[in-house]
Amino acid sequence: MLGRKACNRLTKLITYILLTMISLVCVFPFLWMVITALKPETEVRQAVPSLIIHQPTIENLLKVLFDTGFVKYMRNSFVVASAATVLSMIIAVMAGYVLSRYYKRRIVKLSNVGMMISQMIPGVLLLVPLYITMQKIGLLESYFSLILAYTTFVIPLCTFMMSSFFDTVPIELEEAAEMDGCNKFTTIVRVILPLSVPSLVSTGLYAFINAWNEFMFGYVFLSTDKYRTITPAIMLFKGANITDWGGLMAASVIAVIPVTFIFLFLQRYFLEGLMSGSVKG
Amino acid sequence: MRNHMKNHLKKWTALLLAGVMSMALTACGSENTQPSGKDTDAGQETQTGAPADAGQDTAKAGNGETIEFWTTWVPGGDIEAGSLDMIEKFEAETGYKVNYTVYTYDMLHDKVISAASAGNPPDLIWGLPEWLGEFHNMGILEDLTPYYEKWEDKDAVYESVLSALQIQDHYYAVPHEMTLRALEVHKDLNAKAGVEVPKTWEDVLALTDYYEKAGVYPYGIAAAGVRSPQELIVYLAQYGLEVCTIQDDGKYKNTWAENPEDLAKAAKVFQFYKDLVDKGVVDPASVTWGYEETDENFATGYTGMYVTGNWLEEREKSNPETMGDVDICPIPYPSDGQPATYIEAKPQYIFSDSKNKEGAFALASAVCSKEWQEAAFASHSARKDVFTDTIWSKGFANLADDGVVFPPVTLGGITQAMIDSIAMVLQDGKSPEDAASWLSEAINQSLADSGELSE
Amino acid sequence: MKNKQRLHKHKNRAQREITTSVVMLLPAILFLVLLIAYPVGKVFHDAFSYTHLVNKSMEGFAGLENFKTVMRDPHFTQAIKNTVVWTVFSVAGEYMVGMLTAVLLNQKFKGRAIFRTCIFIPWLVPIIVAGMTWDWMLNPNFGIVNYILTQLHLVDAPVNFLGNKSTAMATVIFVNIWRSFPYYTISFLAALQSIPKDLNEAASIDGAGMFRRFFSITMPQMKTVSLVIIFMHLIWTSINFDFIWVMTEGGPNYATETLPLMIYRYSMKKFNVGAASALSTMMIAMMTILFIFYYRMRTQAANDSN
Repeated sequence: MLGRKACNRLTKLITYILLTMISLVCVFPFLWMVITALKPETEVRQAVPSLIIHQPTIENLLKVLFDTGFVKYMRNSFVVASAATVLSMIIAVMAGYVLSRYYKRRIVKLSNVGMMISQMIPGVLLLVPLYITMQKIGLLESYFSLILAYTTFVIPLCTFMMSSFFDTVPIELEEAAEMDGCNKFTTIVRVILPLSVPSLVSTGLYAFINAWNEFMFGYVFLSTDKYRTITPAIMLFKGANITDWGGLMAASVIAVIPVTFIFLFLQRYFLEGLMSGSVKG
Repeated sequence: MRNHMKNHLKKWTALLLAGVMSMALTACGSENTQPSGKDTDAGQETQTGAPADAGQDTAKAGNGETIEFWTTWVPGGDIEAGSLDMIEKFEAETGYKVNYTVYTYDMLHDKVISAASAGNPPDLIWGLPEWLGEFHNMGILEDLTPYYEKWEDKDAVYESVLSALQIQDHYYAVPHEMTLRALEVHKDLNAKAGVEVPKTWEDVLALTDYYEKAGVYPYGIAAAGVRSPQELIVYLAQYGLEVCTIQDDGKYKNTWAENPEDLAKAAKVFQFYKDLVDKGVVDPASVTWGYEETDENFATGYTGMYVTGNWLEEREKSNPETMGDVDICPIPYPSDGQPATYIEAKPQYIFSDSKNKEGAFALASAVCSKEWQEAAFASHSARKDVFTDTIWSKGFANLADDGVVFPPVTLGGITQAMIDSIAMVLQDGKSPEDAASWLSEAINQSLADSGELSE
Repeated sequence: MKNKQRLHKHKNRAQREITTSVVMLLPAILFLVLLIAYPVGKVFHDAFSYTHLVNKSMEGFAGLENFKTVMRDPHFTQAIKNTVVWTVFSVAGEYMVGMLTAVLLNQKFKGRAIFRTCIFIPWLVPIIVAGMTWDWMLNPNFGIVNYILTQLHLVDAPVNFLGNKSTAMATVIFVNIWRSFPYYTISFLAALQSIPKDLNEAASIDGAGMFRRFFSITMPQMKTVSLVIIFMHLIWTSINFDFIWVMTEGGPNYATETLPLMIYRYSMKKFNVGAASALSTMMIAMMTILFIFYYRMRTQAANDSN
């Protein structure tokens, strides 16, 4: 038998090996994007691909940032994604709470089914009907069309995620709060939400990334450059006959960097053991 | 306590609902401020109806009106640079305001279908010729014949391009660009292999030791993706075959099955594909490739010769070492057939629900003017009087007379069947005869589905 | 008297719960009804009518004609098989990699922040960009992956990953797992935070090994989160369109054709919206059956934890 220490060391070794392998696979395409973005056109188009950049250039990055209105597109994406995140989280916390606590009520079951079915329509069949809906309520050509659509798309998952977390919050905590004279609203805000920070952040992150990366509705609802979001803007580099890989990769790298920072900033809220000991004490 | 809670909840939801409503209202509100606009495009109009301009330009035809224009140029490319200058000039001269947005063709197609189904199309788009039939059948295209009658400049456009944009003697589009297909040849590689440029299919199929001598495959095909039907109609046309032919009732039909000779010719075309692969004249892996792979392989010198278009001119810059020796030659044809090539007459469409058709046609014809064509499409112009001194222009222009186009029917099902028929031969091991008769049937089935089959 | 009062109280409580439920669900329902009800209704309606954007002569009630049309499609059976393979293997792979990475990252060790960031990057890349980039990287002639594999002598000749019938499906599934698993990791990591440490510590003192601790303590705690994530991803993966379309367009020769691609072809290429809706209706029916299973498991899980 291995001693406890040896066993720990072995676990650590395995952890490092596995994580290194997985990380390599995860990062490699992004690395390739960065490398391509920094290559001049003649190197991008070489017959034999190379990981080494012979004459690094920031031409692609500059072109994307300053000649194509990319800063504006990023701002648009940021506005749309943030609004959709906030809205969907508010809605999801409320619906998720009900889903968790009153699961046996018929109306709750029904909405649960409705939410599931709402996820089953392929995007291409949503295109025309959603366009017509947006047209009828007069939201085409505005941020609101996208905010409304992205919020709606993520409500089901966010609701289910929040509800699955609320399931783990002991009902006794709530009862105690209600004894102290809190109503439902204050109970949720004061007792349950502080406990839910990790889930709130990870679910909110999902809503944000989903909106940030969405492609199809981004160009169908909007016909003005002023409101365009980044994903449709990135795809413009895929020309009819020739793809501008340098531009495409530079644009993609630029689009990924801000969300990476958001992620880096937020991860301490759901990963650093904020919860230790507070639940199910 | 209970009431208290309820009140809170009510407030909470009320707040949320108010938020949603106010969103809707702000957007609806802008509608009301519009003097004339239809309720559907409030957003667009607030954006563009610059009143100051309108005041100054009252004397001009445009009267400050907006032209909603969806285009497909690549950001940072030559077409964009040339066109932006010309748009500015157009606005100054006519008093119209051009409101342009850029898309890829795929994006544009889905977007136009959605917008047109909702009766809210733009005024002008730069589209693909493959859409002509389907848009026309949907009844969303404006008949431009009356505009054409007043358009003097049309005589400068290639006749083949103009006829590609007609359906039963009516015009449904204005050209903006023309590209042709030709055999692009790496002279150095051919010299290395010690071969002449092949003139016929037989010459191509004889290049069996090219790979040994030059180290690369002599020829290429686009067996999958959008370009493979464009390639297949060329080879079919070289035997005088049409994908479908117009009948007396104005509808279409594939008639190969009625004529054993035609079916045999179609089978020979598929036999050609099969021989190319079997004899090692094309890369065996290429049976699943699209144009991205084959173009790239030609530009980087992996393929000796390839049937493609003059957009590879751009690759002279990115691949100077391998693209320096390129020559443009006619596409090889069967010795018992005739020369042919595909002519891609890129159209500008105006829709029957467009709000500013006058302005749209003014812009469309300006795009087709000599000045604009020289600025943006110098070596791939739809006009006979615009060309450059490079092989990319002259080498291609000589071939224009042999150009064929797709018939103006709904092509989605037909082009898919064409791709499938090539896959039947190259991947499923079906015989060329089977593929030919299957394709003939599949084309007619697709025509029947879209209600365009002649009975 | 007392009984009556209790009954009254009980009724009151029930009433209160229903009111609370309605009020708190209302925003979610409003959004869904506003945006999704019409499209869902339209899909069901169109499935039983002749709806063709191009062929205007086709109109009116179609009965089961649209269903017959799609079932006669020579690629229908293949597409169903592909959809099942694509969905099941993608979700299974995502789940396993997601769980593995979450458990690994939940330990305390040096450099875990770096690993964490690396692992989440794929999820931050838009799907279509990821698809295009992989398509390019995997090319047998000018792709970097094949270049590296041949340089390292892992393969003798370049592999035509996406162009070969036998490897295409596995490759798109791999890329899908690559792109989607990080969200599993994030969710599991967040869920792992709510597992009390003392529980694990107590077990470890009792001499329970890593695996036993994982299966007897960690897994049960992750049950509801796992169910939500798995079932949502089953739905999303099965209706996902862009990934496969960007990489293979369903090829080579329909080897990666799934139902959403067929739906796209019917509606946007052939303009037979009726047939596309019929296909979609069939998918919804199949998934609803799946959902009934989920529903039972979810109820059970909720009962267990209360």
